[in-house]
Amino acid sequence: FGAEFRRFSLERSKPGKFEEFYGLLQHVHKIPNVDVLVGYADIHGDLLPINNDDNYHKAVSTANPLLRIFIQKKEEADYSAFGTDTLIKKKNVLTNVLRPDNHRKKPHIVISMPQDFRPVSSIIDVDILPETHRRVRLYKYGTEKPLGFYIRDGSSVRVTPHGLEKVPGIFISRLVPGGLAQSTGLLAVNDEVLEVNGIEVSGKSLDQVTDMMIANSRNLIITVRPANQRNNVVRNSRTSGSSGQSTDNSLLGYPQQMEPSFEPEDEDSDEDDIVIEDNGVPQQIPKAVPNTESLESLTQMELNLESGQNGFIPSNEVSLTTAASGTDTEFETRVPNQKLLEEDGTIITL
Amino acid sequence: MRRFLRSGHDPARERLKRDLFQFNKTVEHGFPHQPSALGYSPSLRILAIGTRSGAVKLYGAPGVEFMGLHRENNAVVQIHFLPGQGCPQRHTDHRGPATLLLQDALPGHREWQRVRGAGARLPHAGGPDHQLGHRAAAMVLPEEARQRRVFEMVEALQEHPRDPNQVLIGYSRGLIVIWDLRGSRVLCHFLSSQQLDSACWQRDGRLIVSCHSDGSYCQWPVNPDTQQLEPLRSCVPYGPFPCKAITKIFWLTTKQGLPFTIFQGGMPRASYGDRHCISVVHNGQQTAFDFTSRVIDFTVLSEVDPAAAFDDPYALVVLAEEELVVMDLRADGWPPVQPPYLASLHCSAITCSHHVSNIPLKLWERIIAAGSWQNTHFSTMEWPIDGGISLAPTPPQRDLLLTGHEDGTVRFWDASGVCLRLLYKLSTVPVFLTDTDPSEHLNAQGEDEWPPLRKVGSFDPYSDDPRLGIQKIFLCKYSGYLAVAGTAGQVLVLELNDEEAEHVVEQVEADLLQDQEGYRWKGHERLCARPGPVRFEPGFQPFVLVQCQPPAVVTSLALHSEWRLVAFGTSHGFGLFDHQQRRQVFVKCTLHPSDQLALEGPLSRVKSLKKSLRQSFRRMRRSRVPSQKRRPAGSPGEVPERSCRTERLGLQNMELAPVQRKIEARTAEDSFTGFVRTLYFADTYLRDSSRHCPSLWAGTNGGTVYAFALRVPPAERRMDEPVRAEQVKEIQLMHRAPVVGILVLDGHSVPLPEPLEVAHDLSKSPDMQGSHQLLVVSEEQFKVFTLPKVSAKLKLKLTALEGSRVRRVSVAHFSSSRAEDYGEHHLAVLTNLGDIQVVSLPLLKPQVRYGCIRREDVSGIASCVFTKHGQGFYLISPSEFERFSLSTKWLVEPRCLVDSAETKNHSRPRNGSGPEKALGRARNSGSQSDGEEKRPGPVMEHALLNDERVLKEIQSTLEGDRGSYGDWRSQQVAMSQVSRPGVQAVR
Repeated sequence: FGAEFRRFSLERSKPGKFEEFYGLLQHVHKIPNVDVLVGYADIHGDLLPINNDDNYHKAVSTANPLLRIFIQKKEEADYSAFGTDTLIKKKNVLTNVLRPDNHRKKPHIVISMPQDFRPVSSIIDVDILPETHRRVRLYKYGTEKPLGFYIRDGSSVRVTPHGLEKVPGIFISRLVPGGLAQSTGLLAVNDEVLEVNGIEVSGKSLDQVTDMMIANSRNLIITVRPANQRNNVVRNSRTSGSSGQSTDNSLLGYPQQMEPSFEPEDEDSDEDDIVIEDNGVPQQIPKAVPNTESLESLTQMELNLESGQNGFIPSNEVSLTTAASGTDTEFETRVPNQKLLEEDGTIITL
Repeated sequence: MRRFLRSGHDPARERLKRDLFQFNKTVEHGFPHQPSALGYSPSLRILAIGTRSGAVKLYGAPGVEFMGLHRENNAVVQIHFLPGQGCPQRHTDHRGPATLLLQDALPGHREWQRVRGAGARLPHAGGPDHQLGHRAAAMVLPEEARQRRVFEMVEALQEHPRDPNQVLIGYSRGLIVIWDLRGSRVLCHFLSSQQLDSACWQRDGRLIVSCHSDGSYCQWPVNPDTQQLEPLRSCVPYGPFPCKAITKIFWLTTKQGLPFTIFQGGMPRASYGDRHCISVVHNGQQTAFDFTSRVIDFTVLSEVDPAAAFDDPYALVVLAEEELVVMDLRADGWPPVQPPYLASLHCSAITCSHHVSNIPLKLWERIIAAGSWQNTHFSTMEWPIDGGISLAPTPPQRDLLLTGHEDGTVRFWDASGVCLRLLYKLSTVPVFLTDTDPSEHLNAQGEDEWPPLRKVGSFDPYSDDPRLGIQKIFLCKYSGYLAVAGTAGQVLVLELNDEEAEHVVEQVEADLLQDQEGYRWKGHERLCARPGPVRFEPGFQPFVLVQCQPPAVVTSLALHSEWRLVAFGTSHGFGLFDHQQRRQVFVKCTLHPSDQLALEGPLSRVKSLKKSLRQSFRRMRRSRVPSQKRRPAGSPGEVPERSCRTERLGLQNMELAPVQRKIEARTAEDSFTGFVRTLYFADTYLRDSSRHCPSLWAGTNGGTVYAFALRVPPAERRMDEPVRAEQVKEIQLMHRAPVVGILVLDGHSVPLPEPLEVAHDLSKSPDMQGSHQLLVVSEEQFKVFTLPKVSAKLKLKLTALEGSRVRRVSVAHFSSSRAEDYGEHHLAVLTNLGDIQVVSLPLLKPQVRYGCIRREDVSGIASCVFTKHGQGFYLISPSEFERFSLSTKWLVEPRCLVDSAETKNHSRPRNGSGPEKALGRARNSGSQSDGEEKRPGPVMEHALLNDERVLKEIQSTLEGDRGSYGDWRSQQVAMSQVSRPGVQAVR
């Protein structure tokens, strides 16, 4: 388990069972009796595990065109390495695993085999928001579900220093059955939209708010005042007097506390533009590194570069590159000077 | 949190920003939309045009322009200049030039106000007097007239040319009386058998000419002693068959003896009743000037001096619905005079525009020379409306604005100064076979045809073929190469030639679908090129025609005159053409295979910008109700009411079914992702950091950027070796918003210069040592990437932050108003909300933001074009460009002076000497106040009174100065304007 890699091909249409694949891996790497943890890099650069038929099939079907497989010894495995943003992002798995001295975490206690998981839509910032408000993150990342909701103009009543006042507002008007918004159950029709990714919507037109939501659609965080206030979390730490009705003006009252907690993450959330260089392999565009490169980032750059040029990726111990279809050989044999106009059809299938 | 830590609070930067940026709407170019009234001051030699939206625009000598706008949206019905008489009592209401006074005009009071306006010497006009006028007329009328129970409307009201105490009153039933104001009695009366439309005095007051609803006019000698029962002479100029009414007539004497008779209408009802004609009859000659749009009003410029014995008219000024036409009455054949302003931008609807700054003198002269060939039919007369003095400095550089039109023409406008002047008109139509042959039109008019119609004016909204429409223009000012692309996928490359020439235009087809088989284009056919050699007049002559297949609208165009390449894109893909070797280099299909909409046809099924632009133009045109009523007082009152009601209905409907917006992420499968939005040539580092090479960049609606490395043979082998292209990069922006701009910054973070700019010593060579950067502007974000290795460096998420999308982006150089040679390159950005912003380069920091266009004004936003020096233009109506400036240094605005005292008694006021009476300076400034520049005293260089605040400022300035400038009031131009009933005065 040094930095060894193998490359072989599989029939994309008939991947077979996970057990067979596991056996094949052990056979190819000549490690028949070692318990290993198999992981793969999905199209978003996430390191995800392969441990049953389902996620194995998914891995093969999403391979594009290479399926990059990572194999770790089970006893050395770092479970924290799996998950979203793990491969390329902040915590660089490759760097971690390639430089074991950097890797002094206690091994996690294995409770069960990690499933194919990633962050999901959720209510966030409960601690800093007034009880009448709810901040919902719709996490579209990697799912095929549409966001699936509509917004409309409307008016709401606010408590102002001059008494009650009717002000225009933006409301959720419809949820599409089967969409992310409906399936999570976190948003409902007639919820008033107060913020979109930390930006207040008051004073903005319906079209502006629409554009803002679409611009943030990959990681949409909406702060709403739910139409139904009965399901609110009652927090004991709050002063007892704050009931649902009396805090309608809370938006005015707690501007500082509303400071969103997700900002730094947000900065990175759409950094995954893709560039296809002349070798035809799509890759994510890295963030430009400052001139004083840390050793870590330097390594990362080199690795990315190498992977981009060869179509291979080195891994911690053994890396397999599985050609999921016949396209692999096509890449290898292509004459570099050949005009790329003709070949793009196969490439833009991201 | 970074977004909260902008350098906005750096005081040095704030100071610098004040030196660099400033927002002003400076001047409106073009012809006022929906004109409704014409006024002319013979003493000031100033022309006034009022519009249905309540604007009044004053024009004098080229560069002398004033504009005022009523607070309320009321049509201007009549405009009269009140000669200042130094009578303070009377003039307290009239606050000065360009200050508009709307008098409360109640129904029925209209006539009297006409007296006030025209006469101006009538003592203390008011309600009681007016009553008197009516009653008195009834009292003293002779028997036979009184039998016609009612006299009905007063149609004509004219002061005696010599004696201010005599007024001619003409009633619509045919009665004309001459009223003595001093004696309050009727001096004499005339009774016509026909309904009266208008009447006028002869200069000496001895003759009255009346015109009637049956197309006749009559002459009545004025003699208070004898009662005239029959007219001296009656004539139906276009008889004997029934004719339409003559609605206005001028009777003008000349030294030679024979008078000029100029009248509106009177055409034979059956065959020419639909024409908009003004006839001029003099000395056996008769011409019916035939206008393409309705005639609003007309006036004749003649001798001003009241002591002169004859009128001696020299020019006929006609305000038509869509243009102003001036005829030279002294030259043979009465040729038109080329107007220096009020150009009809919309002779054919504007479909696109392109601005080129700082044109080299050589090219400028050649374009003017080409244009002079086209202007031979114009009179050599100097522009006769020449009041006031323009104080604007000579423009520092020559700027061209090119407008593309629906009829396949490109017009070249001199946009250097206040007057937008047509230099040259290029037509792409001769290249194609169209249904109508232009030669037919010419033969249609015979020699001895009656009536003697003559088409005048340039307004021609009818397009032979909508496919001819121009969509993109690209001019290289150094080489004189021009690329023009149109609606049916046609791309023409043109070259400037000073001689007439006949040659074959080479045709090439660019198949943008390539291998995509089995799709059927359901849109329009491509244009059919004219076979064989075509004769072209001097000017830009096409030599290559590339036709895209399918023939979809060309959506982007770029020309590199140094490499001799032209790139074009449609909704299907883009291509590169070598116009030196006349060879296609490559085409690239950008279409998503599932995008059926784009494959099948034009953008008709999906709401596109272009379409909505065109639609709103149509709507505008339709809303101009061609009212045949002569009395405009009634009709404009009704129209808003009706539209109000429909609006209210619309609002109610909206409340019933609230507008919903779907929130969904963009996907690769969305429609029109392949639509090529922008093309850009750059000499940069595409593959590695050691070699730079020519490259072509293309951005699509789906957020994809393609980069092609080009190999252009060196000049000596340019014809021998082919140009090669190879795709090197493809960037997919994950937010998938349309890419609207691509730009490469050199090692010093300065945008790369234009082709040939360095060769002409007009730009520093770009820095090729440091690393280049790529700026990609999508509708939602600005992103800077490093080159040649593409890595994300910086970004500005505009839409996520404020919900606005980028509509137009352009690099502009902002010079400092303080330091002579200091300047910065930044991005000028127009958003879909109509805001104009400046975003800094290369750090992408928002600098300033100004509201510019109403967000509902889709066509205004779509038509916006920026200049290289921080100015811009956008359409405020189909016929008018608003010019604005973001720069403190580059500001083109009218600075002018009208001095009423000095010119009052001049017949030929061209000598600008004498005591200058200046007027208060006020420039309408959208959001910035330039109060510190305001000088006390009555200095008004230019007043754009559409800003209420500015109006108030002017008002207060004038009021405040009244005491100290006692003589000032008597010298001012007082202009009163009668409006429809119930209008308040603007204070």
